[in-house]
Formats: sequence, structure tokens, C-alpha cells
Amino acid sequence: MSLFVFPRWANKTRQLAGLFLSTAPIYVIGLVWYGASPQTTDVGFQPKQPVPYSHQLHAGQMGIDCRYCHNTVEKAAHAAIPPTATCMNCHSKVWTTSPKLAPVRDSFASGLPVEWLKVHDLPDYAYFNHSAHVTRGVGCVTCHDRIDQMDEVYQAKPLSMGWCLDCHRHPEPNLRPPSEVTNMTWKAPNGDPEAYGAKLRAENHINPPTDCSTCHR
Amino acid sequence: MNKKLRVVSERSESPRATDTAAARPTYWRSLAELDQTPEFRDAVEREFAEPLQGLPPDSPGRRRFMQVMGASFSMAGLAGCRWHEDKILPMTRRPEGVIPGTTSRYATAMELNGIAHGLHATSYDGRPIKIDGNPLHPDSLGAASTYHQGSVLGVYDPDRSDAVSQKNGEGRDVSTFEAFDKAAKEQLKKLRTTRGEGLRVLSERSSSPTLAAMKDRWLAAFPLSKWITFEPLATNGRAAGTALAFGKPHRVHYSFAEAKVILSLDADFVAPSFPSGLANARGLTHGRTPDHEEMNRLYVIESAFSSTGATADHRLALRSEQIKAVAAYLDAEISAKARPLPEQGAGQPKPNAAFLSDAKVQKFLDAVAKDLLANIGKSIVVAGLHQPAEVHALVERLNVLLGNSGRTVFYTEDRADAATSDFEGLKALTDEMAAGRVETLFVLGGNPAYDAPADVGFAAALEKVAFSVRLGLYEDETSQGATWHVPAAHYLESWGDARAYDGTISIVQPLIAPIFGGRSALELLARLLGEEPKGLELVRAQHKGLLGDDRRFRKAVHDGIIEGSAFDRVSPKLTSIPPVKLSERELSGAVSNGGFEVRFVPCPKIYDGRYANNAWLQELPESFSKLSWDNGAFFSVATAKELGITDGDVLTLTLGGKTVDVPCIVAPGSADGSIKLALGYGRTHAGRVGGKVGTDVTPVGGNANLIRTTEAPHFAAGVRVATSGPGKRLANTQDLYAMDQIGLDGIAERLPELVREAPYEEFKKEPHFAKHLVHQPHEMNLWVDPVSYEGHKWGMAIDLNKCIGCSACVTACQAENNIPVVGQENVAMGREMLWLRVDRYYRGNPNEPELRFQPLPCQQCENAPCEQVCPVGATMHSHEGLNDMVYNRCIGTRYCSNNCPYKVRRFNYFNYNLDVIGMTPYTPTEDPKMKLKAMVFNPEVTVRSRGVMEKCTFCVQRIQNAKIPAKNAHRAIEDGEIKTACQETCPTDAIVFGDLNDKKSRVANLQKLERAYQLLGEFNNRPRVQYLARITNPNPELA
Amino acid sequence: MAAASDFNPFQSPPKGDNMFAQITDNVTRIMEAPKPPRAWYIAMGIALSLLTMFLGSITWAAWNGIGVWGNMMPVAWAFPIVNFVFWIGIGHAGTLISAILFLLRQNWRTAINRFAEAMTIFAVMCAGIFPGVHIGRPWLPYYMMPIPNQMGMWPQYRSPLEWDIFAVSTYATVSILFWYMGMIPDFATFRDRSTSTVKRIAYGIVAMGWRGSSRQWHRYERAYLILAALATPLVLSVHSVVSFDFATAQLPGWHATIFPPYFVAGAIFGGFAMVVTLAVPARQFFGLKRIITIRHLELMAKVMIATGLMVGYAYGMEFFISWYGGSSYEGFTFVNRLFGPYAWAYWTMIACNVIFPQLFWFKNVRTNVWAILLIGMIVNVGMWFERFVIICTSLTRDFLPSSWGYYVPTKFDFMTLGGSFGLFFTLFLLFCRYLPMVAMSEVKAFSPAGGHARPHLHHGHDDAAHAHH
Repeated sequence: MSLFVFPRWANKTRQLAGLFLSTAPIYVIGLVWYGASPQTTDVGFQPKQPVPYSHQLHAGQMGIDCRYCHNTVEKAAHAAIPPTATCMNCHSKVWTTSPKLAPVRDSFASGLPVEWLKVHDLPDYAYFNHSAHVTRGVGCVTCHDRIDQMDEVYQAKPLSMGWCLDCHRHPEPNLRPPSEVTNMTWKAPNGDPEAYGAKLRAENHINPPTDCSTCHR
Repeated sequence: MNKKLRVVSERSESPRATDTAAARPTYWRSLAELDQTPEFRDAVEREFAEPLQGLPPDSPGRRRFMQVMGASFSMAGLAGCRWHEDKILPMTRRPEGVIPGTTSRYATAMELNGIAHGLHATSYDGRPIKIDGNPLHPDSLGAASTYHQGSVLGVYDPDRSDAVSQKNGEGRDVSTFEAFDKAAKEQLKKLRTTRGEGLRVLSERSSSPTLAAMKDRWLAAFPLSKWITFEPLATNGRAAGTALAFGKPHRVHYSFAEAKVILSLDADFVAPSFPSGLANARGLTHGRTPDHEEMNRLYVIESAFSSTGATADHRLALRSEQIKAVAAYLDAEISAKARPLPEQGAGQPKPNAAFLSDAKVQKFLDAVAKDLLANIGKSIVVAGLHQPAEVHALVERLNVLLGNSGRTVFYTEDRADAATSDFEGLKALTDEMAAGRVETLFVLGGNPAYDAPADVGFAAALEKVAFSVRLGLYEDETSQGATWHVPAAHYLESWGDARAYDGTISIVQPLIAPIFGGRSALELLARLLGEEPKGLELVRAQHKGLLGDDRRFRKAVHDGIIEGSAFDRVSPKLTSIPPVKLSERELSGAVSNGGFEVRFVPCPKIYDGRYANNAWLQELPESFSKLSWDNGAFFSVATAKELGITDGDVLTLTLGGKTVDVPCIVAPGSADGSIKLALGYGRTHAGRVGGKVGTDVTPVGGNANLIRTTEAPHFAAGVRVATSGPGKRLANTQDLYAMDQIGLDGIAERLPELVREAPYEEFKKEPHFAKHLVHQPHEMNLWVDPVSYEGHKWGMAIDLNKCIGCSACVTACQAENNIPVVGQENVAMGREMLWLRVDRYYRGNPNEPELRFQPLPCQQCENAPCEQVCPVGATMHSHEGLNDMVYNRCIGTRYCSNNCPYKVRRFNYFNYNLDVIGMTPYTPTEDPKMKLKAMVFNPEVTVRSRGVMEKCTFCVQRIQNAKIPAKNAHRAIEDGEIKTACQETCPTDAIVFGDLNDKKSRVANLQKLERAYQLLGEFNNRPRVQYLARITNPNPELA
Repeated sequence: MAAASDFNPFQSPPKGDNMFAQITDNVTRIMEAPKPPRAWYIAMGIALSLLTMFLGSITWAAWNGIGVWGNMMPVAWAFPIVNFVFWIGIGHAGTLISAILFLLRQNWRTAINRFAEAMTIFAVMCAGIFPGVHIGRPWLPYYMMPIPNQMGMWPQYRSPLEWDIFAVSTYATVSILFWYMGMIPDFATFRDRSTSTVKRIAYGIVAMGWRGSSRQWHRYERAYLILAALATPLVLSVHSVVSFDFATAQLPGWHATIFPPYFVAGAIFGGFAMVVTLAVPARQFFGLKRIITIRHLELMAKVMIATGLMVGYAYGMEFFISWYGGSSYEGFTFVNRLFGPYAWAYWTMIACNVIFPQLFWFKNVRTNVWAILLIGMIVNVGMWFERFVIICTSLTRDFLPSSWGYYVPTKFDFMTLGGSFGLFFTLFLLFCRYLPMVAMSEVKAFSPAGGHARPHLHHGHDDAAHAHH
């Protein structure tokens, strides 16, 4: 036949095409929004460290305070990774022959650093300041989650811009008395973090800025 | 920023201090150590580039380099994605009180032409990243010049020599320190037997007591040897002149703040190249604040515009050679009235110079004389250092007669040999060398092969020296001819000491171990004399007497000065001065081609050429021509017209048979027949920035030394000018193109509104003139105000009465904010990146113009046009009233710049920071040493990649770094705690930044002054920067 | 509609008995011919090489940074934006002819509306490329789209550039729909006359099963009318919004309330100029003389002189306002336009846009094909310079003399400009060869034999029948 008209089955393709055209954009947007967000790309990142250092053991079981090693956290932007010397304070006496600790001993002897892998790694144009948060009573656990239960540290929170903004716009649920920042198990005494946070916010004059220059310079 | 000053303890120095060049060069080790810290990677891996792990000694540079290139080219805002794993490399032992990722400041000092300038160096994780002035230092008072600001880049210059080299026929072989030490020891063993026969040491001028002592020991060890000092910009006029007037060479110190009438005879006494120039500038401008006290009056007679001339109330353009007659004339006038004592001798006879009988000049000089006599004991007369002894003698005579000595002018005794000419000394040495009478020569610093006058011929003579050693930062022109080249240590790398112009001793403290294992002159000589080559020990030993115990030494190092070490002030007796001899030329008026005068001036950017490889300084626009990346011959408008030349014409200047090719610059305000030419250009072995023959980097500018002579090293007569080449496109940052008449009319029309000014008398009558000059219509907003500005409200006040246009602020801003260098071609296309620019406008008759400077940072408008047009919200208003610029959000539509009435926004048309890992997108270098440049980056500021807009942020990183600790400590920020980089370095305190909501803050009170006004305020942008109108103080008799 | 059909698109009655067949033949011949005329190949060769240059130059810019262009400070917007506005302007005539003239019952439009629409779409495509490639980070334009993201960032809706995004994309969408709509019946004709299966199926799919039934015609008419009504305001809105990019800015020379009407008039002016520039060669090479007649060209010339005068008025009014407004900065900007460093650009613009079109007052110019073509081209040049004068000249000298500059384009600027024509002509030539260049069905409707009105279902059948002869 010379006159080409659509066969009957072609009618079905109409709906299919319609369906595709309407869903495709939504899918793409979803992909950009969620698929490419740190929630997906970064959360759960758990590199193999040169030394199988266990926060679960040191911070959890033995209950060493975070600030014993990360001692600049209240003074500086960076919660410095401790120098090898700090490890050796104890490990010159205990586990002095453990093969797992060999890299630490070597570093101490050679003066060359232990090459830790960075887990919580913000983009370099984002300027995060630990002291500004810790001294206002934002707990370690808020961003790093239950480090004291991690045998090897992994990233638990997205650390994305939107995630930061959530708290900067509504900090109450994440506030605690500055004395409790390193306490991994702290709960709001009245059981209502919202109300308690509001109280703390008023007491400590906490109004987190959301200006661009707060984090970007 | 942590303002606490620290002393480098032996501990923190020792891990990196390495004197011996091991198989593995120190450079990698220190770089590796440093850039392991997360902070450092922050600095270098901004935006998309991969982190620059310092090359481990064993890894090939190339692979790493390619990776980085690839990453930086790779597009996508996927910086957050897990493409690579960052490493954290903590110190193995963290020294006491060291907090990674914070800055601390150390006092040190930099010596230039034998005068020390006290500085504070900011150190970030062990590497110096910023230089500022030391408030305790008499010559600095907290200010630093472009030279000092730029010097920090010099530490990380990849073109610095990194190894000992030995001459081998035409070429040079890389050698080692061991080999050199061995060779040198043998050579000296021979010399000890001959008591130093044929041994010469040529050194830069230095005021270091330790070096002086070392010199004595050296001469004791080698009694027949000679020690010569040479400095291409050395002058002996003042010493010889004071010797003439007072019998002994003296140094002259001023207290400009006290003076009411100031006369400058061809002296740019506020220039950083002038002794105590920055302190002078502070004093001069302090006396020019009309708001609370009487203003001083400044007369300037000079051959070409200088910062001083731009500040003058009355200015007369005369050739430098005519100054002598002027001085004689004034002495005649004033001696007649001031009635000198018999032993002070009679005044000069009135010179019958043609130009003096000119009505204008006559009127000017008579008014000056009258004004000076009316202010006995409250005036100052200064002569340019390049002027001959007679002029200085007469000037000091005037100061004594006018009763200024001891009131506004002070004298200290200078070295006995200060009156001798460096040039004669160098000539003598060179003749000896040429005659083969010198077999061993040590050249400590300097670069005579380049900057000795043409008639000296040092380079040729150097070939005749059997054993010559060159200690230098670069393997430059002089090193080429030396049998041995030894890398020198930068002043930020070595211990030392030096004296301010008034004699105050500063300890020079290193901030970092020698990156290339270089040695200081002290260490080199100590080693050769068989002493312990430890800079610290040598300096400590030298000052045992002054500061006995270690505690006092540490305090001196901490403060940067040794208190009470200044020379004693004296009040010398004025003796009679014989009538000065005036040559035909010095009396004559106009001169014509072939008889022009040329004036050799220190370059305000690269000084005598020693900073020729400093990209910041090369790109800095020169204050008057706004020319970057070049030098030119400055002609007055009339002379240029007479010669039929204009901007950019390439000219050949001929003097005594020698020639140099430079482009023409028409510089209104120059004296007719006088040509200003900056030294320091035309370097043939400077490096990848300043020029290197045999590479594609051609020398920048023309070498003025080619027509200099030993007899007249500072200004010379008899220049012939000929047009030699086609017009050249100059890389100006203002008036990039010849302005047409419409443009000129337009400028003339709007200039009074942009730079508002009035004479002092009118200002007193109508203090609000500046505010009412332009009608401010009732302000209505299209948008409701985004923020209400509770809390802080940052603002700035810029006093046009104080700005001398020195541009130190511009370089300070560049250093603080990681502003990239774009190169000559891009500047010529109008793409310079400087966040802060200093606008320069000429006023009035082009033959005797006035000159106005106007520093222009981002005005941080409250009602900002830029913010409203950005489609992605990359520039937004902060609650403290800053226009935040967010690089990582910017997609580069450049709409904000179009809508900015001040055009203060800058755009990265290319990835100008690619030179950290490759020169430009077109010519990437595979030299991994380029990465060294990354060490100067300020980690607190994002390093911008290509395609994003940037602009002045009011140094928001400084604001944040002051706010956070203050909040942590639950205290308020006090006024002056936060200083912007430009404010901190400004010699005249012209820029004041602060919180407008703090009613007691300086800036709030300055903006309340009657003469404060908003630039283009009538457009309702509500700028946060306000300018203080310029007030002049003209002499009614000359009005 | 009676009044509308009182003229005959054929100056002289065509030979042969079946006029519809004549029309159909005239149009379909182009598609059915085994080989297009040699001129087509030559033109295509040139167009393709220009297109290659275009792609090359923008790739080079994307790779090295847009510094390869002459843009600098203060002239941060230059050739790319000039080209953008230029092409957007061109992209007006099509929809204007199709929609507005349709609503105004200007039936003479039927001969030219089809490729005017095509031209519109291709011009908008060219325009659409520039905002994307001119930005500093061409891989991030999606920041301008309101897409939810992990940064919690949205576009900044106060920015006219943001308005552009919506204005231009809407316009592009509607234009394409409108164009395609109109082609459906003709696709059916092509389908029916196609000899090869491939063509038959291909045209069959795009014809969407058109049978020319009365019901289809009825629906078709309604839909066409509605789309026309939708498109009409867009014609005016797009260029108004584009003009806001400048009108809302503070820059002297941009900051003017007259811009929206001024830009729209200019756009129609330039658009028609481009239509004649394309129509004349098309009718020559593809033998459409008897469909696109002198009469049509003359009418277009009249539109051009009318809009040209509007533009001229706007030029004058700008000066009046700058004087009347009393701002010294505004005043200077316009003096600078006339006599400043870029005076040559300004006078080129005046000559091309105001002076030459005056020749259209003369009937013998209006009716001379080559004169019309020449003046059309001149106007195209003039309209490009208009944008150059507005954008670049204003930017070179704004408020502070210290930041004044002088803009010099680089070779890449010219390559991008010339290249964009490559893209335009490539698309247009493909259109001429493979798509119905003239709206046969509509032309027939207003041909004498077509009687006075649509629907013309019989013709549809005639066409079909005709195919089997």
C-alpha cells in the first residue's frame, strides 16, 4: 500500500511516549539532586588507614577524651590530627612490639609523618572552623556521628551545603552545653532537645550566620 | 590572625636548617614537609586542581605534574566528589605552642642600600606568606613599601639559583658546596702566605655591625686585600655636602610633623628609596589634616612628578641641574635677611641665571623665601640625594640659618668614608681587574656586571680574574663571568642584623630554612675565615656587649629593634661655604635635542633591577604613567610636542656615544628638556619574569645603565633623542589608549565631582562643600533593604589628603588575597586583576598640571548594582554589609562588572594561577619548581580558577579570623583590631577600616567629618567607602 | 475572510488546468528532485565550512578560557552577546508573520510564512548557543536553572539574565510547535507523493497520520488559531525581556526606558531583512517565483520601511532623553557615540538602518528583486552594528575615566560570529531540501481555485490522487 498511515499498535506508543516525556525530566532532576549529592557520593566513605587505629577502642572503651589527641579543636579552625609523639606517649610503653603499630614507631624514629587518609573532607572553598562550633556547644557527634563506636572511621553525615544550612537556619536540635561537646551519649535532660536547644541558644547568644562569607572567602 | 609575636627558637629552626647540600636538595624536603599539612593543600588545590603533594625526593616531577595539569583542566564542579583521597600528614613532634593552621608574626628586617627597614613577617605553618611594617621601628612605624611587600614572593622564586656552579669555558657546570669550600680554602691558604695580595672583596652597602666586624677580621687576616662597597643607587652628595657645611659627613633626619613650611629641592623624600622615606611620609601627611589643626605648606621644585610633588601645594618643574642655582639664589635671599654669624660665612652671590629671571620662577622663589623666613624653626628644606654636594651644603646651611637645626631637622654623624663615591671605587677596582692585578675576587651580592655604569666595563674585567666567587640569589649577569657562583640565602632565610637610617639596630630573623641551601654573606665569610658558620651565633656574639644575657637578646629579636642603639644626635657648627661654581648649562634656560638632561631614578617597583624577576612588582602599575611591565623615558608635554613623539613611540637615547632604546611616555609635569628614566630594566639573566636571553622571555624594558657614566651616575646632560621604532602598545592600566578630545573634555568635566577638593581657606569658610558639590536626589529603593545591619557594619574611609600614590597598598592586597599575575599581554588588553587600584588624574594646564591620586577598592555598596544582576546569586549582601563574592558559585556571566559603576570587579579570563603548575594555557612548563610559587599563597583566601569574577572583599578572611576568636572568648572586637591589608601597610595612614556601628571607631568618626563624601553617591548605590576631600594649602601670594 | 481573499497570489494564471497540482509540483519538486541544484551544493559547502569554524572556535574558547576573545574590563560583554541579541532579533519575523499576520488575516503571508518560521527557529538556535558559551565556566550554566540541589541554592530572580532564560526558552518551544503544526498537512502531501519506502515512512511518521479529513481540518484550524494567539504576545515579550538586560542596568547608554519597544521594532526590522535575504535566492534557485511573488517582496519592503522608521525614531529619542534627563554621564555617552573612538560603528549603523531603507519609498526599488536583496543585507549589517554600538561603545566609557578602555576583537571573535552564520545556513539549506518550504495547503486556500475559504478537504484528496498518476 502506498499511503502510509500508522498501524493500530502505534496508538500504544502514544501513551508510552507521553509517559516517557513527562517522567524523564523528573528523573534527571532527581539524579542531579540526590544522585550527585554528597549524601550519595560521600556518606559511608571509609578508607583503609595505614594504622588500624580504633576510635571504638580508644575513645569508646577506654574513654579517652577527644581533646587528648585533637587538642587544637577549641583554639583553631582545624582539629589537628595528633603528632606521632602523642601516640608514643602511651605506645612507648604499651603494645611496644605490635606489628600494627610499626608505622607509628617508624614515623617516630624517622621523623617522617604517618600518612593518614582524610575522611571528613570538605571542598577547599568551604572554610569550616571547629572552634567556632565546639565553643558554642555543637557536639562532635553532631557531624561525626558515633565515632566512639567506629572501629575504623567513616563519614556518617553528608556534610553538604544544604545540610550545613539546615543547622545554621535552625540550630536548636543540635545545641548542648559547651561542657558536653565531647560527650557522645549526651541527651537533652528534659528529653526535648528542641526546647532545651532554644534555651541554650538564648543563653549563649547563638545566631549562626548564613552569609556567603561565613564559609566562603 | 594571631598577632602574637614569636621568636624562632633553635628548636623550631633546627629540623629544617641544613647547610650542607646533600644529594637530596633541601628544597624538596622543606616543601614536602610544608605542603603535607592540610592547610597548605587547601591553598594549592582550590577549585579543581589536585592537591600538590610535594615531590618526594625519589619521585619524578613529570608524572605528578601531568596529573595536576589534567586535573586542573578537567571541568566540573565535582570538587566534592571522591575523585582522589586527600592525605593528612601531621608533624611527628609538634613544637610547643604551634597550632597547625594558624598564623604567627615574627619581627625581622630588610636592608636596602645599607638602610634597614623593620618588618613583621607573617608565618603560616612555617612558611612566610606576608610582610608588614614593624610599628616599633623608627623608619617603618608599621608601614611597609612595595619593595618589602613584594620581597616575600622572592623567597619562593623558582628561578633562584639552587646550586653552586663553576665556570667551564663558555658554559657553567653544576657543582657542590663541598667542592667550592675545598677550592676556596686552598685559594685562601695561598693568600694567607701573600697576606692577601691581589685579594678583593666587593660587597653591597650594608649597615650590619656583625658584617662590619667580620670585615675587620677579614682585613686583619689579609692586610693587603681591599674591601670595596658598591651600590648602583648609592649617593654621596649629602655626606659630601654636610662635610662641606659642617666639616664632617652627617646624616640628616627630619620631623615633618613639626614643620609648617617645607621646601623640597628635587627630593622625593616620601619615597621608599629615600632614607626614612616612609616615616617622612607619615610625618608630612600628619601635618596635612585640616580637620583639627593648621596645615603645613609644601613647596616642591623637581624635574619630574614624584609622590612628593603630587602632594605639593605649589610645584615648580625645573631640570635637576638647575637646582644648584636655585639653592644659591635662596641662600642669597635668606642669608641677606637671616643675618648669619661671621663664622657661618656670607650668603652666596645671586647667580645671574637666565631661567631665574623668568617672572614665574622669580615669584615662586621669592614667595618661598618669604614663607620660610616667616616660619623660623618651623620649616624644613630638603635636597634630593642625587644632587651634588654644593646643593646639600647650601640646603643644610639654610636649615641652620632658619633655626630648624634641632627643632625640625636633626643631625647624626655619618661614617668618615660616606663622602666617597661608590662609582669611583668600583671604577678603580675594575681597572685593577682589567690590569690583571686582581687574582681573587669575592662579589657578595649586588650585580655589578649589570648595574655598573657603562664606562666601567665590569663584566669584561671579571673575565681577567683567576679566581672569582659570586654570592647571589640568582645566577645572573655577574655570576655568568664568575669562576664560582654560590647561592645566597634570602633575608627571610638567614640570621643577620642591620641599622635603620638613624642607627637603630634590628636583628634580622629567618622565617624559613634556606630553601635552596643558600648561604648569607656572614656565613660564607665565617666559613672562609674558619669560624663557626652559624648566623645566629655570629649575631648573638656581636651583640653580647649591648644585650648581655639571652633574655635581652630574645627580647631584641622579638621586638625587632635594639632599644637605644640609635646614633647620638649632634648639632654641628655651620662653617662658611665658598661660592658655588655654576656651569653654563646650570645657568641656562631652555635646552634642545642633543642637550637634554636625563635623570636616572630608582624604579619604584623593581628598585635597581634586583626585583626584576618579581612578577608582583613587574605588573604593579607605576604611580604616574600607570605603566606595568616596562620602563619608559618621561617627557614633558611641550618637549614631546617639540620632538613630535607620543606615548609608546620607541626612542633611542644617545649619551656620550652610548645608546638605549625605550618607549616614550608623555608625562605632564616633567621639566622641559629633562628626561626621567627608571633603572633596573633590560635584565638579560633575571629569570622567567624579568627576562633571560636564550629563552623566549625577552628582557623587560630598556637598561638605563647602558648610558650611565661614573662621572654623572644620577643625572647627566647632553642626551639626543631619536625615534627608532614603530609605536609600541604599552601595558598601561589607565588611559590604555591615547585619549581623544571628547574623552579629555569628559574627564575635565567630571573630575571635580570624583576627586573633590578645595583650598584650606575656603574649606574653613564652607566645610561641607564636598557633600554639597553634587545634588543628592531623594533616595528611593527598588528593593526593600535586604538587611538591617545590626551587629557589625564594616566601612572604610580614604583620606585623599594623605594618599601619596605609592601603591604599597596595591601590592599588599595582592599578597594578602592571592591575586594572580596576568602578564604583559593581558594587561595590555585591559585584564589586570588588581583588586585595589590607585587612580591618577592630572588637573589643569598640561604644562604645569596638578596630580591627584584616588585609591579605589570595592565600595561595598549597600544598594549594590552588581548583586541585583547576578543570575546565580554568586555575589550577595552579608548582614554586615559586605558584597560577598562566592567564587565557587560564580559561572562568569560578567554582568556584575558591567553594572558596577566603579568597575572594580576583575575577571579570570584564563586560569592565571596555572603557573603554579604551568605558565599559561598555551605554554605549560613542565618545570616542577614552578610549584614552589604555591607556597606564597594565603591559605585563608580561595585561589581562584578561570572563569570566575573576583573583587575586593574588605579582607573578609581577616574579619572572620578576628571575629571567631573574639566570640570564642566572649569579648567584643575593639576598633583597630581588624586592619585590611591595604590599611596596614599604608605609610600615611590614609586608609581606615572599621565598624560604622561602633560610634567610637575611627572610621565612624572620619565618615562623620564635613569633608567626607561618597563617590557617585548620587546614584543611590550607598557605598560603604567614603572619601575625605582633598584640602590644599596654597600661598595667597602665589594664588 | 472574504475581504482577505481578494487578491491572487499568482500574478499570471499558471499554465495547465490544475492550479493545485501546479502549486504542489512547484513545492514538492524540490524534495522529489534526485539532486538539488548545483547552487545548493555550493551553498552547503560554504555553510558547512563556516559551521566547522564555529565549533572549532567555541571549543577553543571553552578549553582555554574565554580570554581567547577580546573581552576585557570594562568591556566584559562583547561579540558573543552582540551576536546573541542579533540572532534573537532575527528570530522575530517568523512568528510575527505566522501569528500576528495570521490573526490580522494578512493572507499574502501564506507564501512566506513557512520558511520565515524555519528561519526563526534556526536563528533562535544560533542565539541560544551564545549565552551558554560566553560564560566563564561553560560547564555550569545549569546553575541558572531552578533545579533543586544539595547546596540549597536557587537562581537569583532579580536578574534579567534569569528572565531571559524563561523568555527565550518559551519562545523557542512555541515557535517550534507552531512551525511543526503548520507543516503537518504538507508532510502528508510529501508522504503521499514519496516514491521510496524510507521517505514514505519517515514523512508518514512526521505527518502523524494526517488524512485531510474534515474533522482533522477542523481541529487543525482551531489548534492553529490557538497557537497563533499564544505566539503573538511572545513576539513582543522576548525581545522586551532581552532589552531588560540593558535597560535595568545602571550603565549610561543602557539605562533607558525606551528599550523594549525599540528592541522589538528593531527585531522585526532585522527579521524581515533576513526573510528577504533568504526569500530572494530561494525563489530564484527553487523556482518558486510564482508563489513568492514580487508582490510579497514589495509588502515586506513596506514593513521594513515602517519598522526602520521606528528604529530611527528610537535613535533620535535616545538622544533627546539623554539631554532632557540632564545627567552629564548620559550626555557624555551619547556624544561619545557620535564622535568618540567608535563613531565609525555608530555611523555605519545609521547609514544601514535609517538611510538606505529610505530607498524603499520608490516603487521601482520596492519591486526590484536585487535591490530588495541588497538593502535587506545592508539592514542585517546595520542591525548587528546597532547591538555593537549599544553594548560595546557604552561599556568602553562609563562613569570613572580611570576605568575607561577600548575594545579590540580577536580573530576568535570573528570566527565565532562568522561561524554562527554557518550553523544558520546549514540548517536552512537542509530545510529547503527536505521540508516543505512553502505552506502548500494555505497557499492553495487563497488561490482563486481555492475558492474563498478553508477547509479544503477535497484538495487533500486531489493531492493524494495526483500522486498516483
